[in-house]
Amino acid sequence: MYGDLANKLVLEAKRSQQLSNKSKKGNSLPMYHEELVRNILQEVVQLSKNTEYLKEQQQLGNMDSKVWKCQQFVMLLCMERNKRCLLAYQRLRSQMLDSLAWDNNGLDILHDTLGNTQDTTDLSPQEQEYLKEYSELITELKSGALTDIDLTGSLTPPSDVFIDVRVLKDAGEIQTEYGVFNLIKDSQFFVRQSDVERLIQQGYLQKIK
Amino acid sequence: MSLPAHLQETFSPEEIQFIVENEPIKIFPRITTRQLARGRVGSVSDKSSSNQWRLITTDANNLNNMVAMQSTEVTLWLALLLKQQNKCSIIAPKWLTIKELDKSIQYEKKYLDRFSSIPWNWLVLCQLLFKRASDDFHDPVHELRSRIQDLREIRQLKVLKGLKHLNNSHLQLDNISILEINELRPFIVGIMDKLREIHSASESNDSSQANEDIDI
Amino acid sequence: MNIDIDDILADLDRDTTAVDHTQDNFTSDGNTTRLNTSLDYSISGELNGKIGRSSEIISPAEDFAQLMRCWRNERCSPELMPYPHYLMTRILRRIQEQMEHIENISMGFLEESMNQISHGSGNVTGDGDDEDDEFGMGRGNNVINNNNKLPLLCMEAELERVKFVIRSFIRCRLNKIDKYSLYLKQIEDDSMNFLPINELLSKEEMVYHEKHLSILLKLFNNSILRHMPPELQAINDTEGTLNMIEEPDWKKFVFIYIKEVKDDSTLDRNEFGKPCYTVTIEELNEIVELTIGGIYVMRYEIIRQLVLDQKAYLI
Repeated sequence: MYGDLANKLVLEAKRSQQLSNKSKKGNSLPMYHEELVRNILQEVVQLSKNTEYLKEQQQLGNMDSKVWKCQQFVMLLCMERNKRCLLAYQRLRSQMLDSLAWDNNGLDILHDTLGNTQDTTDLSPQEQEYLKEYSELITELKSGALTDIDLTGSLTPPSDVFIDVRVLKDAGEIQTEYGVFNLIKDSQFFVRQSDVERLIQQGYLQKIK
Repeated sequence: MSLPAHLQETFSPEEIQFIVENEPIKIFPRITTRQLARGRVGSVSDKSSSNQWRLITTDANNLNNMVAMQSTEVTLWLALLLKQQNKCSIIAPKWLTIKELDKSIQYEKKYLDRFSSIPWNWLVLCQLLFKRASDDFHDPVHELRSRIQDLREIRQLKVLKGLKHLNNSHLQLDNISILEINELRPFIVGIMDKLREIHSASESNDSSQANEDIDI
Repeated sequence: MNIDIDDILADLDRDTTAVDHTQDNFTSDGNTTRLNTSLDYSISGELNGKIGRSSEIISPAEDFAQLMRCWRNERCSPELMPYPHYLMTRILRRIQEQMEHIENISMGFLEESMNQISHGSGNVTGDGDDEDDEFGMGRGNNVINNNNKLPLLCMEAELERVKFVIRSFIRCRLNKIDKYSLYLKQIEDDSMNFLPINELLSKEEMVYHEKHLSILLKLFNNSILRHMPPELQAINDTEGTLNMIEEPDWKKFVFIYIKEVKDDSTLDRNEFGKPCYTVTIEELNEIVELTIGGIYVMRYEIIRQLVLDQKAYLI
């Protein structure tokens, strides 16, 4: 029946929305349903042709005008419904692409695959272009009047700007705004968290609670 | 989306804590920062700027004029930072004593249709102080804790009972605290929005039916 | 003549603050047709007009409190709130100055510690009478654990906090700009709107709105709309059976706190003599009294003006 395919598409969209809402991090888009979209578009074209045909028939006087009006209306509703479903699907995906771009600091994730979870072959060519352009827009917005704010930074309020750390293995001297630290095994320091984030990740330092 | 979905509905618990951290609280400093008038000339000149607090979200006057063991008032996050550095002890607010909490509990039990007027940030403040300044209380912390837990449970029960009064018009919830609002928000708003939609749908249904009647 | 260095420094401090505030007034006066510094965020203007005239100096603390309210209102309201232009200008400038200030101080410390290292002094803690070395052994070269570095530590922490609020505030606004992009486009062309779009949005937000909408429309066009029959190609279809432009949900229920004020001519008294605002829920034909200091859950459209006038806060 008309609209069945579109319904399938919307259900699919809803499912991926629920999935991405559940996981607060690392949301990635499922594969773009190219074939389904194409078939729905074809259905619309077909409906449009039917309307034209019926219109001709009606003009030739081969049809009851009440029946014709009813048929025309039903077909218009089907076409509108299909359009809405297609747009809803694409809009949801564009929103997910937006999140992706923000999570990646507005960097070009299509060419920088480091640590990113999105398989770019799951995106349509149009979506790839959109993602690239939106990432550029974020980069642009980050500079200018809001440079100091770091718009792509953390949305979790800062807590413990400074932390206690223990040195797990010798790491030599590091220089921070607070002076020079000589990181000798088993010594302890009170440092700015952002200064030592990398050293913690690399296993040189350990946060003390 | 430029704001994650879970932040569009309500605040995160961390954000609620952040909001509460901007409130003033009384402390006993363990250090003196007040500069001696006409003090050591020379030694002061090159250090005075780095010795001084210059803040952009709160008045730094109290911080620059701390005298050891003379109580003063600063913003909570600053108090917690000083506390972490062992530079002050935090003075627990008056309502956060066994005596006062018992009064609040009694009030909560006596009046079943309203909340006692403990501060809007009571729960978050307690959690923060118990965790980061538990040695500053005069009353035993475990007893305070259990009373806070009691208060929380009584109030939660009231909220649950109150839920049957949810309607499509409005609610009045005086003295409900920020954390309680935040926990209830998705539920209360969700239900009331739905009730409103149902109401307006039935209204418009009525009127369209009326129209049809006229047509016929 | 006996001139004390402290007095000179104190004078300098005073001067700096004076300049700070004149600049405030200057930017706002010289900028547009606005008459005072704190018209931000007010549409009625009346309330703020008074504040603007009577207190020329706006303290950083007041500004931050206002920013917190803007952030909380924005997060809780279904619609995009007016951008607080002057407030943001002032706060962003303070952030920039503070970052420079912090850098200067830490440069000083860095030089100091470098000097001490080159002089063979093992104790980097150096200056300051660190009378309570409660951290014990193993932390001899813990550079910030003394009273001298304490202000710097607090200032850095503060900077992170204020940056976070602005970041979250702007990200929330961008999200609404995206959500209502077509609606905003529509009201942009509508001169009857309560606020021109360049006051509702900041300059940067205007650019963002424009550009994002254009790449989004390109995406919709290329993947869907241009494959449709001509009569179905419009994105902002309001003629069809359903309006395709998403508007804010004006009736959405929100939590509000009614601010305590001393005197306000729009205040009524309820039957117990308590001051309150009277509002009407038209759909239900109900009149509700909102008492000062109370907390309510109400339809947004009903208390919207109270929020814009800063007589109520969304919480």
